[in-house]
Amino acid sequence: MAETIQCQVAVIGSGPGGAVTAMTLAAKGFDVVMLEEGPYLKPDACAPFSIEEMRRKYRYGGLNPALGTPKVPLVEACCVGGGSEINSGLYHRTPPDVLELWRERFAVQHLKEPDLISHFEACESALSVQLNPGRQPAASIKMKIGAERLGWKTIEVPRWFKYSQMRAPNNVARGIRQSMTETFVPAAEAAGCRIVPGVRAEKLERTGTHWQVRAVRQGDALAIETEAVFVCCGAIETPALLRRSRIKKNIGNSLAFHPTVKVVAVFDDEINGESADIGAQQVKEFSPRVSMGCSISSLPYLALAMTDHPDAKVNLQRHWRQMSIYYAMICGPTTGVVRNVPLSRAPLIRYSLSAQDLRDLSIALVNLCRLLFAAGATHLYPGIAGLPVLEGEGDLEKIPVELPRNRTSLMTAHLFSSCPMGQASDFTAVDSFGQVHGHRNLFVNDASLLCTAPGVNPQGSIMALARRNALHFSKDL
Amino acid sequence: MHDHSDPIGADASYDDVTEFVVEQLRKMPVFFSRPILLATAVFGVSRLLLEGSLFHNRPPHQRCLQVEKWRRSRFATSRDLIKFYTSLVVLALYSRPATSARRMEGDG
Repeated sequence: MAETIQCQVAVIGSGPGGAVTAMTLAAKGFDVVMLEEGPYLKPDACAPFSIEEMRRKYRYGGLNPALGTPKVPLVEACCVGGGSEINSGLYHRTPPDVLELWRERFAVQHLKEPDLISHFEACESALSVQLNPGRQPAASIKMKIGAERLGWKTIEVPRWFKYSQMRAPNNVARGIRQSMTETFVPAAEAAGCRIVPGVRAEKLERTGTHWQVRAVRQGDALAIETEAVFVCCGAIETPALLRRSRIKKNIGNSLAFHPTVKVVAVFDDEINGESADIGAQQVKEFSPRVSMGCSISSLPYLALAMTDHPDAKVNLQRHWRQMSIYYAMICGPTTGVVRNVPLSRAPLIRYSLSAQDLRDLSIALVNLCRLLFAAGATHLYPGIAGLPVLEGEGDLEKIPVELPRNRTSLMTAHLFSSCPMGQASDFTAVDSFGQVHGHRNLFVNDASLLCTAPGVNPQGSIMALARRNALHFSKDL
Repeated sequence: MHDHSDPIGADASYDDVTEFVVEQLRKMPVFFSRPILLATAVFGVSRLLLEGSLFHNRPPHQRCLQVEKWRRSRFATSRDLIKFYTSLVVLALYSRPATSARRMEGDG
């Protein structure tokens, strides 16, 4: 006999979508249980962007790439707090033109900018979203200099960080990321939500007027009987759970992400260090199609990025402080699929970049390299195996017009759109407020909802939509 | 080859690196880990008939040559296998506290 938990609302997943949903509904007086497959770790349980973090917080060890040519490594978390525990904390509101596209093409109701302002503001306040009050990291300043020399639009992006009054040398502000375990998760607990980590939801079943979540905890069966279910497992696991539950209409057919290519830049001066933070400067000259920014540039990540260039004469131990990694990401119409595989816990992800994507990535890469040379870089190593080092603008023609499928290293940390919302039920999975078409009191409330790739870091959009939908459910919108 | 071949010293143990690679392999979806294990087995025995020894029994310089040959192979599977192991090993090696310690010493 399986252990049974009863509640009014079960929230499956505790990332930005799940934590905001659980906190909002618990604060409204609902009896909420939030399930999380991963462990409940303290925010400082492991150093950010370390292999310890990869071991303890990444889903499948970070090794479930999207199949295609090239394969695209995906980064997903599996711990209380979800993706907010492992990302860089950069914050954007959903761009107005993206909201317009979603309203017009997907018939999403009540999605004008004024409809979302209160939700953005509430989340921004809870997460202390702000600009860095100190000096930006040197790698970020380089990006700004390059953009200004070329006359390109560049912005400093706010982050969900609390900054200390204490400053490191060079006036760099020390901040603490306001992830879900620092903010919405404890707030949900304080409001009465029960958080149950280490539980994997296997299937959802309708039993009369209620839902039953069939789950497993440490090998033992667990059942959750509830009036309503919010599935917030992220853009991969949410469609996988729904499809395991035989709910398949427009589920997992339209996964979108931002394919991202990286470049290692070498400068004459030091731009990196032991406590180097991720720069928040982004270049928006080619937005929304292309966005550029700074990436994690610790020594292990630099060494990893340089594996595409085994013949390069670079002494990493000696020169890593003069090196930093930058990225260019594109936002296109290509979509992939998420499917379950017999005998595997992990779903299979297929995503085939189009020839146009590879041409766009090439243009993005060329522009990123141009910007870095303008910023003073002396050598550039793009993520294309076998491409010679670039030593000046004249070398940019060495970058193929269409990036080679079998030699290009891409990645992404932004995943969405696998269960798009809207009233256009022919090609959406859920309605304008996240309820799965044809399934009363079954909701999706995470990145899966986003109709298309937003072209910006998605967490602000995810949280605002989650709050909006939870309040709509509570009839308090 | 750029200078990341030995960030910790030639006489050091690599058990922690091996442990990390094996642990990550276990976490991978089975539809990836099983083909990788199969390709690894093929890699291990691929020179048996020609050279008379398994990969792990061969001298280090011959192992390097074999890795290099697979890394530059025209077969994507061979290249991907080497890239997979190289990525994990490099991440683990450069994440060692010893690496940081040596880095600090080097900084004077």
